[in-house]
Amino acid sequence: MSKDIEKILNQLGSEPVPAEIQRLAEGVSMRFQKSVSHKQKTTALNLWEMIMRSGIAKLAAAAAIVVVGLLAVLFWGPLGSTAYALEQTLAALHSVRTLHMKDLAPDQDEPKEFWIECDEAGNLLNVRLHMPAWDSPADGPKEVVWHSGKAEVWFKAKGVVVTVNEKDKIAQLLEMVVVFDPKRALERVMRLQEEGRAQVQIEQPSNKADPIKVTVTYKDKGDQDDIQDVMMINQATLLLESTHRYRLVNGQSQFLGADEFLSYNQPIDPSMFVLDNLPAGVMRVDMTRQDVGLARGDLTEQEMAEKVAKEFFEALVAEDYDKAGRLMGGLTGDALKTMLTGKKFMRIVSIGKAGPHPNPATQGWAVPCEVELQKDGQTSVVPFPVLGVRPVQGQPDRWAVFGGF
Amino acid sequence: MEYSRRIEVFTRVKDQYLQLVTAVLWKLTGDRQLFEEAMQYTLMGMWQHVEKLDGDKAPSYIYRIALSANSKAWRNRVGKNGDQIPERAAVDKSPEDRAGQAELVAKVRRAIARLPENQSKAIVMRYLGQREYDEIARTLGCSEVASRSHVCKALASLRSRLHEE
Repeated sequence: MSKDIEKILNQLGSEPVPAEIQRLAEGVSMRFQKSVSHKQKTTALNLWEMIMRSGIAKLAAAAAIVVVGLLAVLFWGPLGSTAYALEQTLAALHSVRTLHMKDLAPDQDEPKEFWIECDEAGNLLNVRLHMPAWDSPADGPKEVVWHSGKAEVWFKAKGVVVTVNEKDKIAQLLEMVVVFDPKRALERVMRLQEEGRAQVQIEQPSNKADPIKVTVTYKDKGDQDDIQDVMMINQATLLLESTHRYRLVNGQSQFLGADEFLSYNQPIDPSMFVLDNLPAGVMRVDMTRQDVGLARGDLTEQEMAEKVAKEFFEALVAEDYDKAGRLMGGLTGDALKTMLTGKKFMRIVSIGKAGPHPNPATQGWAVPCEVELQKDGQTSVVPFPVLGVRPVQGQPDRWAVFGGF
Repeated sequence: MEYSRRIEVFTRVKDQYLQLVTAVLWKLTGDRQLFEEAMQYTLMGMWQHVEKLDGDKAPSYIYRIALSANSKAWRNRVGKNGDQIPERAAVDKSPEDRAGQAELVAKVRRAIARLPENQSKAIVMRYLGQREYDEIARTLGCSEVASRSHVCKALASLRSRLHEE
């Protein structure tokens, strides 16, 4: 048998490739080459048309738009003549530059909603996340926009917009984008399939208007039950329309969640990536400013907390709202002045000894203070028993007031 | 990598390796339809991983992509209806011998598609590509002794798999 195998291998190795097969290879190769080149031309053409139709304000958005992935459609030819393969969708997803999607959870009416824009090389340009309260009850509902390494988070229930650039925080926000990236989801399925850890069933309807149904059954690590992802793929674009996830328990399907990919490569209005038209009274806190808070230097944490509290109230007494705002974590002077309309800080009565903040989760200090305040023509001494002070996020050497007063 | 650069690298690498890939895939598939499918997968793989093909390790990646494409094409074929493909070889044997030989050749091909990566690369380079061991070692990034070992293990695996069938 061994010699037979070697003989067969040697025989195969010495056989010339028939001219017909060489021509076939060249034809396939030429078709592929044409399809990638055609995609580039189509992209350029559509971009030009879009720019011609767009006003100046829309140029930035137009420049980021690329047409749907023709690559797979052109190369593989119309479905029906060739059986569908997951690779086709993966190839189509490589040319996605904008995406609008929803993520639904069991027993929740309101979905999370994401808008994502990438550049030609696939790098993230802009992200907007709509996060309902159920995602994080402590935060309440949030709107998040991200651009150039900086995120603005609008805590709707708290009436605050916070700008952050701390890498960890940004990574947490963008993790959601990565988790729901259809390309990654598909690559994962293909990896599971290659490793023999998933069963993949593909149903391709003859009616081209109906989506291809791909059912993937596998086990998550450490999970006894089978998980089933049902993916619907558009036959014309080969792009993923939706994924529904179920847990299979005793023959029953339990709904775990769903992603709906609402549009690919459609222009996203640039205003989606800007938090404006906010309700009156919303506070803006910019934690990326380098002058937020005070530098701690050689002081102990307790001394530092007391110093920040003292300088904060001194600034209010001096009506230096810009400084007071900087000491309040980056709040703008105008916003602080508006907040304090009708109130005048007359003098500091006392700045007490700082102690650990009563809410340990804040990891801050509490400074008890008393201030003489004039309001509606009346002057009184107002206690601030728990003025919170702690290091600024992303700038651990600088300390600022947090949590209102 | 910019799109235009992707096209540039892809075109260069594809032109450089098209003959090699054609020969390897034809010898591994022996069937026009299967070959075409494997060739499509190979080109798609080259396009997807074009960044990796722009350097010294390109030959090793090319083999990897082509062998993976061959395995996928075989899996699709066997997965669809389990039929064996008709063998193209028509050599100077009696009809009975020819049928038996054809079946064996098809089995060898299917078995190569299921070998571990380094073994399949080594045996394809050694027998189908008729390469010397030092060249196989360079492509795989291992010693000559290791490349011989991969070939030996591949032959043993093929023997064992064919025996099981």
